[in-house]
Amino acid sequence: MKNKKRWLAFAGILCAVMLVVMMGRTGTLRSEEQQEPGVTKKADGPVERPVFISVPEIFEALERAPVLFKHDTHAIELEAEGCEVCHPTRDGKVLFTYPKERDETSRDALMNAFHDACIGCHNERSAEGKDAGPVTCGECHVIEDSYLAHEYLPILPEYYEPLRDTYHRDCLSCHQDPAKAAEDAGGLDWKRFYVKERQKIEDERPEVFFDYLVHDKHEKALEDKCELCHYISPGLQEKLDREQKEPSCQDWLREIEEGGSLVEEDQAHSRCINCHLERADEKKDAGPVHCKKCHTDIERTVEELADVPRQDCDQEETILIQIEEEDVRMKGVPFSHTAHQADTRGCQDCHHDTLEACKTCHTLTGDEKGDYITLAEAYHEETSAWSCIGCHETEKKKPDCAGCHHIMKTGLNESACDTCHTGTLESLDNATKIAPPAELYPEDMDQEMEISILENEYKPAKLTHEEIVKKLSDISDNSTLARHFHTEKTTICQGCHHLGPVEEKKNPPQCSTCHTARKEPERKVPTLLGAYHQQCLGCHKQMGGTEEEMPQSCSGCHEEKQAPAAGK
Amino acid sequence: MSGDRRNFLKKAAGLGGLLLTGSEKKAHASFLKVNPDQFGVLVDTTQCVGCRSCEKACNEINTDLPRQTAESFKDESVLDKNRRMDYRAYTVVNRYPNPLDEGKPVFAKFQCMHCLYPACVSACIVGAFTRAPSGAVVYDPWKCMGCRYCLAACPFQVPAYEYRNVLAPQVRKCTFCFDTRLTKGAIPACVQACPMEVMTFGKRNDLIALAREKIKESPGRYVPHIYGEHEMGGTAWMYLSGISFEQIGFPRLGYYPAPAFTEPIQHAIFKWFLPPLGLYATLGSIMWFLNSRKKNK
Repeated sequence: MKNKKRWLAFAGILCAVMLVVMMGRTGTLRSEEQQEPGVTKKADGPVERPVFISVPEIFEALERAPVLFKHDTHAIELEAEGCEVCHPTRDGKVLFTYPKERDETSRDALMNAFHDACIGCHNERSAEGKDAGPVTCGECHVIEDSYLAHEYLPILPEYYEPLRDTYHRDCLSCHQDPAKAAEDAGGLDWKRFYVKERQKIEDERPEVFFDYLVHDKHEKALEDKCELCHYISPGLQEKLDREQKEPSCQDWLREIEEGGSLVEEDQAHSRCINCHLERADEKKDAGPVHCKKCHTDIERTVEELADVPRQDCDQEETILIQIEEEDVRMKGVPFSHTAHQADTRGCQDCHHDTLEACKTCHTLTGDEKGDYITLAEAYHEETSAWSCIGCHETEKKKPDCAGCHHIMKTGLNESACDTCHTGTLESLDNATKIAPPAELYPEDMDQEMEISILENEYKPAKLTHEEIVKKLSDISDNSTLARHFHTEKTTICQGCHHLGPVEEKKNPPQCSTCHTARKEPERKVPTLLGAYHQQCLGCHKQMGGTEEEMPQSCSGCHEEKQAPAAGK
Repeated sequence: MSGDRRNFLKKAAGLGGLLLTGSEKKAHASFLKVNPDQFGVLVDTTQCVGCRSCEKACNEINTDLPRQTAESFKDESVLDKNRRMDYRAYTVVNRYPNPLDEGKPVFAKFQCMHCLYPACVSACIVGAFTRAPSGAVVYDPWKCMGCRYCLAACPFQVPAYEYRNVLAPQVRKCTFCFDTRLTKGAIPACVQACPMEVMTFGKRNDLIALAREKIKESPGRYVPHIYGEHEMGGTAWMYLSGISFEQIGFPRLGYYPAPAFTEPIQHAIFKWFLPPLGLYATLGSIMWFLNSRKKNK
């Protein structure tokens, strides 16, 4: 009897342990949603993103988890007492650093500074009977699951994302722990990456994008007084005084170094928020003070900013971009600054945050200021958001253009140089319009054709040639970009009649000339069946029209035959 | 004390025998030689539009599958749920959301991958699965005894079992159109039927070169990885995708072939009969030792 009871007890304990283990593994005890660390989703508007305190430059490898600090909660709670409760002030302006006495001489000194400030305040408030924050270690230094997921990830730039999966799959299949393997090889100290990765989370607060609308609001509120945000350096002021000139808009724009560039976080916080606080004190229309009101997730599109007036900084409407050296090899490129301003959301979209002309930092052979990117690269890099070609490539991916352009090779070819490098500003007026398509057709061409060469299960496919050409011509004529680059009247025809001669009033070669019905092993081109469907169906899918306009179902183009195919 | 020494020596001998068998063979199932001219198929999932013509062609040509009407393949609502191959279909097309572009979902076709070192061939205890020199992994229903080890072994979870058939159930999976077309010099039915030419049939080595060229010529269109080039030792059906393969339902697998892991263990268990001998010796000596103690008491 005793033995039986013991066995039962043992079995029971085993079951309980198994249950706990299984539940732990399936994660039912953990929260269902995998959220970013500490991000609270509220129903009303932008998300509160906590500040991630880890100060990697001083603390380096951390012993405890970094603190997720909810700034907005504190700011709202202590609003009545003002920012000076936590932040030091100087000359009546608030310095947005923390803590008030920030002793950076050593790790311990800084740690104690934080602890004295935070825990000290919490202790005081609870002594006064008010709502106070935590005082124990583990309540602030909370370990979140998502930290562990980042444990061994090395820092890779964003465009390595797709490669990273491959890297992990390929390397991880042999090296179970590539970071450890790297460390064993004496290469990397993984803890540094760990800490930096955590800092990467910290930097994920959305950037404040100062688009045309925000600038316009400031202009109107500050009554066009540029000097309130932009500075003129003493050197330039002397020069202007000597020449007895008023500062031009360009001068205001460029000289923002005195007092610091507004792009730097500490400058932006100390100058922007202090100004907003002052105006709020003076009961004027003031900007926001809380984090999430500036660091919003909202990014306005070009369409939304269409009616916003662009800054008037005396910029030229059209510019001939020309290298000013004797030995220059390429002709200049005429550039319509006004047209391009209409297609961007802010000056930074092209001019980065420095707001300089391109050749100031991107020299012909590359300079440190421009990250060693040469001038030619800056203008021509396909994948860059700031280069001419890069932006044009993005435009070509839009549905209206992607129908033809998704199959075509991206980027430049040798014949494309002359289109831009004309050397004269007058060529800006030479934007072609597609001749009315009817003028280009050969005399004997039908407008509604039937493709019956592959007729089998389906009836011949109906091709409404005229409608297609008219639609594409309209799109091209309505786009300034297209008009400048579709230089020949027959360029649009090449969207389908590719790789062959296309002349006005002549029939182009038939598709079946190169696309055979049966796949030959050496041929790189698709078979006729594949060619038709990749071309037609591919275009319809990319352009995303209605079923009637651009059929994507089988019967939309060719009806099915009712009887089963003969010969079965 | 002589009994103890004898016991110790027996144990040592037994253990030594076991240790001798521990050597791991390097990665290849030695009885399978890969034909360098074998065929394969490259599937470009960026072209697939989910029309299911491949499923229809497969159903038409494989007469042992339950007949389905042509109309049933036009039904796109089927794509709302992800399907697996089962007794009715050797191949299915699934739709997956595209994280890069909401309006353009990605479609992927699944079927037997026709691995170079198939786990099913290794797992089958009666040898019903074999790999032909052309690369097709072929099933012989006459040898099969219905144990379903192949279902458990396949890393892609491909073989399906005819649970509904009481008397003579078979394991069902894509045959690479071995009997119907490959042996007659034609390409597989699904490859031919595809209107978008998603699949390219050819020699496996040529297809790897073709895939690499495609990736090079259209940077940004494909994830720079050929799924199936090395996975599980390599498969005849290889895939290209514009988004990560996990997002289109492909398991994340290592490059080690399954038989290379299991067969050394299996072969070692009875190598020269030493491990069983060693085991018996150990057990026997323990028994003898305990017995002699009892006697001494």
